[in-house]
Amino acid sequence: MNIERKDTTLHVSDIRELIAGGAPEVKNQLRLQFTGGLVNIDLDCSTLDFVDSSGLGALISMQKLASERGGKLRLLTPKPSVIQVLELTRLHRVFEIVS
Amino acid sequence: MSEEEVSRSEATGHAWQWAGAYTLGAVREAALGAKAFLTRHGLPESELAAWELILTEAGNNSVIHSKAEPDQSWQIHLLLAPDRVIAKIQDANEGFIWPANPQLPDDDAESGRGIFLIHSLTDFRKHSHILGGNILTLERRHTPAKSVEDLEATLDAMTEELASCYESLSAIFRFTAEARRTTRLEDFATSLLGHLGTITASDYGMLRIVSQNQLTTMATHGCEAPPPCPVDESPHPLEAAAVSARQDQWIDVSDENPAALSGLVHPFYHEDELMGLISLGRHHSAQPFNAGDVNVVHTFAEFLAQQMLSRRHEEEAIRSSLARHEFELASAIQQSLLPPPLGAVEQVAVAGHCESAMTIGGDFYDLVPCEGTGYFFVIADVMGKGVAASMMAAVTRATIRSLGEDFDRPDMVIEKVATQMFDDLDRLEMFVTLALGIVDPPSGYIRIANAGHCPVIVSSANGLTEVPPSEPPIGVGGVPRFTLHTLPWHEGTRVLAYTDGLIDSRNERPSFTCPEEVSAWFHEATEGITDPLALKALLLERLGHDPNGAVLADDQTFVILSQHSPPRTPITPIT
Repeated sequence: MNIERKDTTLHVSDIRELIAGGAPEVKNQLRLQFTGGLVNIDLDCSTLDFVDSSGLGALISMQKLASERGGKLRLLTPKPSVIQVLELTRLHRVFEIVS
Repeated sequence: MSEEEVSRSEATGHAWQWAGAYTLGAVREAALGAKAFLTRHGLPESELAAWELILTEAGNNSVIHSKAEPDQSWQIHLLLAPDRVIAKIQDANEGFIWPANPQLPDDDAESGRGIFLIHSLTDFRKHSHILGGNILTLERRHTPAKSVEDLEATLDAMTEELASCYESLSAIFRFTAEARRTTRLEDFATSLLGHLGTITASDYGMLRIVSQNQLTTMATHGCEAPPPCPVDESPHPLEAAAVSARQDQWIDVSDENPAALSGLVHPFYHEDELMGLISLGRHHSAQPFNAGDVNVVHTFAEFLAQQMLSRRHEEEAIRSSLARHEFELASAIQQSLLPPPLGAVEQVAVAGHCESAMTIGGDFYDLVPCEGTGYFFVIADVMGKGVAASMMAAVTRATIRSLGEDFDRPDMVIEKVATQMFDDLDRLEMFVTLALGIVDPPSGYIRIANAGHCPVIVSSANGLTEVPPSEPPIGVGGVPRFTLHTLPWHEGTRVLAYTDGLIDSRNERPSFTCPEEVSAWFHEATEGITDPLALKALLLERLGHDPNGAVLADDQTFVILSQHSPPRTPITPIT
């Protein structure tokens, strides 16, 4: 996972899967890094191949983290397989998806 | 861990078996192993993705709720039939009741979607409690391998989907061109909403924009335009919810009095400012909008917001240009109220200067020639700057000028001005400092009254006299009796009346620091100079006056009067 700060946005990339085995660590890392004037989280999903229900929970957690500061979570260029899971769980209504 | 691919006796199928520890790492290994097995048997990508998720969720469930001993394992058995895959997941956990109709948790719940996902992705589920554990049986049907004809049909569908994407993209390009041509934003918005309805197969649409904290309907299709309402008091529950939650709201057939069977209410923003709401709905279908539809709505809304901002900037530029023009006119009018260059009367010569901190201001001076007497002068400063101050300055000037018969008694003039203007100044919470005087060489005196203004300096060979403010500015504390100061007027006497802009240290020019410094400079540094124009030039030089220089923080105004006889031109004798 690669994490960069750009102005008020935490840019997260290079995640290949967001699953039960790794989601808590991702959540912890972001919670530690989301400090200072950061408000938004951009998650580059272009390398994300697989998300399970725990991974969805991690996305919800990121969304809450950003909302608490008046910001938002954006999912950038997710693959069709990831969009399908979001649609199945109707979370595509909740997250801002940037194709 | 063991992975073993075996042939089963069933004539048409293949089987795969896996056993492993109760760890999340093992779950991932099992899911990827099963996916590899199904890949080798030619299942399409959609089926591979579905089974990867099904087995991951089922495995996670077994591991997370495990109370198994360390040496125990859980297993997956896969059976591949021509039209379906059957999975059996066996664990050693305590049993639980598999829900018949699992529901999604709240949108903000961070767990509780696993069983819903398994349920959604499978066609058959059976959870059995056996001795020492459980067996979860799952089935998912798939389409058998396609013939060439089927592949052509798939290709057609893909082409259609691609064409749809192209349509969205080309619509955006079309709108860009249309936005440039259309003069009314309403026409453009109506066109955009219509196209958006076509692309998302919506037969109901409404575009409402925020203007002065009101939601105003800009365009509709398939519904009546609702009247304007305050932003946070929309009678439409989903609009109100979208504004309150700052996120999309979904029209659902289960809602009370739904606007349509399915659809979306999207609030769009510029930075943090709510620009408007787009509502789109389908009366003919309860099929919710997919991610593609949502993306198109978001993209178009963003595009519209940019157009709205662009129009707003254009309107602001026009308003600003008009205001600047009005300001310039007001400035020209104010300058025209200042007296023109005037000649000497009774050997009293005069000069004045007025420079506003803004284009227009509240300072002014006035000089009125009085034949047989000399000059009546006024120096005044209306509290504040800009249009309001300049208007009050014009009113003060006109009021003083209307009292010409009293110019011999500056104290009476101020009293009458204060009486006439007090109510207006009090109501507007404004005040005016002013000093008036009449230079009267025939009588041998100068008479001055000062209402809260800077001292008026009278300098002569006999010394320096400052006429201080004896009473408060007009508009403050009622209308008192004003003091009349009478001073002798000799050959070479000079008068300087000025506003406090000359001693304002905020001016980025070399101002004076206090009234005493002005008096000392005028009396000493210009001693013997009686030409008011020369005195004016010296004072401007001392103040660092530069028409193109730093802008003043406060208006600078002064008036100079002196006993001055221009040098006579020598007469050349005629020979």
